[in-house]
Amino acid sequence: MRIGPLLRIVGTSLRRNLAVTLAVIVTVTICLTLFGAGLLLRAQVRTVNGFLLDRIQVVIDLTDNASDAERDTLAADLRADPLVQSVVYEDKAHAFARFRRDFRNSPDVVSGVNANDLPASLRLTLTDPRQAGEIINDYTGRDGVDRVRDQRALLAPLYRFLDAFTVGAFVLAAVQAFSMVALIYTMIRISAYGRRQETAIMRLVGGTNRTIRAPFVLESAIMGMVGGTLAAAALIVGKVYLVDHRFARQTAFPLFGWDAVWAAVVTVFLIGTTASAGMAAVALRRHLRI
Amino acid sequence: MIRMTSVTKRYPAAARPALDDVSVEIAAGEFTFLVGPSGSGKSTFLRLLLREERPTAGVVEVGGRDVTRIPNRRVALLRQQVGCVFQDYRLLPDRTVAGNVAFALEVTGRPRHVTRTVVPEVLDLVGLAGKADRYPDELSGGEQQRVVVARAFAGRPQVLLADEPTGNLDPATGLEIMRLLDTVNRTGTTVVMATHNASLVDAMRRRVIELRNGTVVRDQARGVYGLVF
Repeated sequence: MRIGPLLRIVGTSLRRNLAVTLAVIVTVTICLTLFGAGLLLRAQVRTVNGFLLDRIQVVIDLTDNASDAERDTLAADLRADPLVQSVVYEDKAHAFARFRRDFRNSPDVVSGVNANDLPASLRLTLTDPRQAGEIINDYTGRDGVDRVRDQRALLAPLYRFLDAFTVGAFVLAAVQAFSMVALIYTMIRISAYGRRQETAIMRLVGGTNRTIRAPFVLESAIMGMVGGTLAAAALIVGKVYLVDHRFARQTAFPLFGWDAVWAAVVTVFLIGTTASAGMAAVALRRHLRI
Repeated sequence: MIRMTSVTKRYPAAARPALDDVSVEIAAGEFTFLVGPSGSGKSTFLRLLLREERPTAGVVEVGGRDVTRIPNRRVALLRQQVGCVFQDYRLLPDRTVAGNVAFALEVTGRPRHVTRTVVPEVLDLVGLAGKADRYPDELSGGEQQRVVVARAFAGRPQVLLADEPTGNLDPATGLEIMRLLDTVNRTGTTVVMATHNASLVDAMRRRVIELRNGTVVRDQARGVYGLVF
């Protein structure tokens, strides 16, 4: 069938079932926006992770009575360790200076601490930050070592927070996906019934299965495309107005970039189109006699 | 053009077969009436030719091909060669006369220039050239049936099947449709028409195949509706 007559059939059907068409588009849009938001939250986790992996180190706090020899031996062992990329010694004075800088907005905290309260430390950059556990096991309890800290562990609550939002977005998207599937299924059933005379004629004059099904599948795909486009627009608007203009001023962490947004936009558009068309094809097998 | 060899068709819930060991041959270009009382098997006969049904036993050939063996995906091609006209007009109410005829060509993927040429030709053939832009509800029953004939003939099928095409029409209009089918037949198209209309059959004096209880009880060249001794 030529594209012109095919689009005419599709256009007529979409107009005839306008209320159902709009319901499907709204559901698809909400579902895909939530799904896209879930993808962007995952991208945010990756962005924060990459940022922290570059900066957060494993810190070995030294005991106050650690000798220079113990410290040098420890540093030499660390430099020889293949898991360790670099080792920097930070004495009590430097530790106190950094503390004062980090908490400059909290003078009450700074006033209650002096240089002797903070330990000297060896700050490590690892070749693979995910192997911090091995370093902790290997160096905890060594002479002159008070404790070994993986700074990334401090950020576990942040990761839990982001993970919870990601899971929440995906769960809501799944619930909406169920609504979307049910709506498309119902729409095809109604549409196949409403167009039974048209399809009967198509069959009688020698229309192929593909020709008879094509308007239904295309109709559903168009709804998916429109829903996908609206969801993509919502993600872009969210990036511009929420992420770049609002969140960027409220956090010290880097936020996901446009590459993640474009990837999510393409994904929701493709999923919207193919899932809608696929669902229509499945429903037709049950509700359209060929 | 059409050959049925020892064809039997049983429906699951029926006590007796709809067709019982029927063997018939219809030559290309022939006009054949299929007569008999309701339930005699006329519609089943036509449905088998369209591959709407498969026979329980026997072979059904159209244009030299055994239609019972055609794979499902090729049935559409068979139906492009076998046009059909029914008692109920089955026109699309939201399309004009020309649109309804064009629909058959669009569905089978004919190019636009073919549609533009063929639609006026067939509307002229069926006498509706001046009503191409009318909608079905603006036409009389006879005119609607003419549109159906035009739609069935637009794809130039080798065979045209008509199942009670005059059943809803008054005698005069029925005769017009009959003449129209005769015109189609004169173009070389094989026509098989199931009917209860005795006067039309008697007036045409064409081949008559009479079915009763699923069997052929009469096959007569230049026959009439009721048996003449």
